[in-house]
Amino acid sequence: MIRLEGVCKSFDGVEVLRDVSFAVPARGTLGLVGAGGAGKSLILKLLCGLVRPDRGRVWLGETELGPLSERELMGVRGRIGMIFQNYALFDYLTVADNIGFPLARMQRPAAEIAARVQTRLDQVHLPDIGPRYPRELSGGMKKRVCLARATVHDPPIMLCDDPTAGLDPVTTNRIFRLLKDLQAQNDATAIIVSHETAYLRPICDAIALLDRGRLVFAGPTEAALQHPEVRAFMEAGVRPAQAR
Amino acid sequence: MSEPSTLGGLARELRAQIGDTIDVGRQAAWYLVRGRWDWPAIFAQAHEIGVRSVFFVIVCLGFLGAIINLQAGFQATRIIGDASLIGQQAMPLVVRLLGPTLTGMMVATRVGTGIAAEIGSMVVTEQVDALRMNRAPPAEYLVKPRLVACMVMVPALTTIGITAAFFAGMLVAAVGFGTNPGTYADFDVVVGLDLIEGMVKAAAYGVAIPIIAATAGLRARGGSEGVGEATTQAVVAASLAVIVLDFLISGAVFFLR
Repeated sequence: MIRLEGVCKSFDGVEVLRDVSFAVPARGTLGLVGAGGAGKSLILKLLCGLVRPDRGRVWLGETELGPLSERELMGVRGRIGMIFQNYALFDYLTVADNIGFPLARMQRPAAEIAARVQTRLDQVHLPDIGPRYPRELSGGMKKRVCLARATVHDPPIMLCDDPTAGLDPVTTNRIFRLLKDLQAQNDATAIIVSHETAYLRPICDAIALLDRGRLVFAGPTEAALQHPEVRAFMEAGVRPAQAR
Repeated sequence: MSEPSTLGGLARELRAQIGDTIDVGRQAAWYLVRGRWDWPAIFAQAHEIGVRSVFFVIVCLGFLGAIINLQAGFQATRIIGDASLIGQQAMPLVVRLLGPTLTGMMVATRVGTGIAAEIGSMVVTEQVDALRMNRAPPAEYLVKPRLVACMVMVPALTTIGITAAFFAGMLVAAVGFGTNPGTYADFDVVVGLDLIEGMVKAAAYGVAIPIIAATAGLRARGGSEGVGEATTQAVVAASLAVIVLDFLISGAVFFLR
């Protein structure tokens, strides 16, 4: 279970999140949608403790993140696989070293790392690119490498920040299928931030809509599609205020 | 990390920067004692910071030694008509002050900017967030190898620089003013405290420069503009730290003499 209770966050006096509360049950998939700048990526960073809320509480399972020190948070983050919007692949490491990085930091044996890296590369349909560097890859390939790195340690929580931004429809479809497969394989709880509402609908159990830092709606997908603002956004990608 | 527009804003920015530097230094110290030792990363940084700076340091400090002796020789010849003692005047100055401080300035310029730009780029492309997500705290994974490399390489570069200044000065003194190399190389004028002062300064710069530069990189925000600001901030703050540390250590040694 992932839970946010009354979370507020400001930067330089600008309120970016206002009293946001929602929960995602274990093994559930939440699609987090909203216009650019609504605070979606910030919520993902709050959920892994990369940013701390000004007010409110963030729970991952039975663990509340607020009182934890940075060193204690490192243990919690080991349970999370994060796909970053801008790939965040280490440009000085090869693809294989990038994917194996979480395992290397967990001090797993080299043979195990190599085997798991190759398994993930096969799963994301990039079996031969281990020795290459991220700069040699296309955007779609980088996203798949990012997905492989985020899931190589079988995390029970997956946070995906716009995993298909800037990709063509074929690659977008492939990424969403991979996401779903890897989530099912790890029995993971997932939050997916995306503007690809047509792809989100069939794979999400729940939808949450953010508008300028305020939660408009959070609930099961069927109910979300009955909500006028969510439906308007999901169908046309328009801002909730414009839909009224 | 926007440009503060008022005096109050500047003071707040300065206080935040100093606070962050202390925090990064404290974390790096903790990981020096408790963290993992990534030797390949440390050797790579030692190569980048030390080996690749050797030529720069030798040329700069060599010319510095030559210039000091040239000026001292001109003055000595003009005033007393004898330039045989210029080595004895120049050497303590090079060992205590100019050798370590100019090497520190060069490292602050060449290495400090590199550290800030590299870490700043990693911040704005979310690579530092990815490190934090994967049990690789930046203070351990990024700062510690650079800190260890600088702690070893800055004193080593200082020694090499002083040696270059010594030989270049000796050459100028011998060729320009006919000073006997044996007289020039009178090591009795350099006392133990001079050597200690020089090395303490070099070690202090080796600690301060990577921490200040890494902090500037970690504070980078936005895109390439933020990285540029971080780089400028690193070189300004690290150079300032070198000068302030030079003053403080010189003052402390003055009272010890």
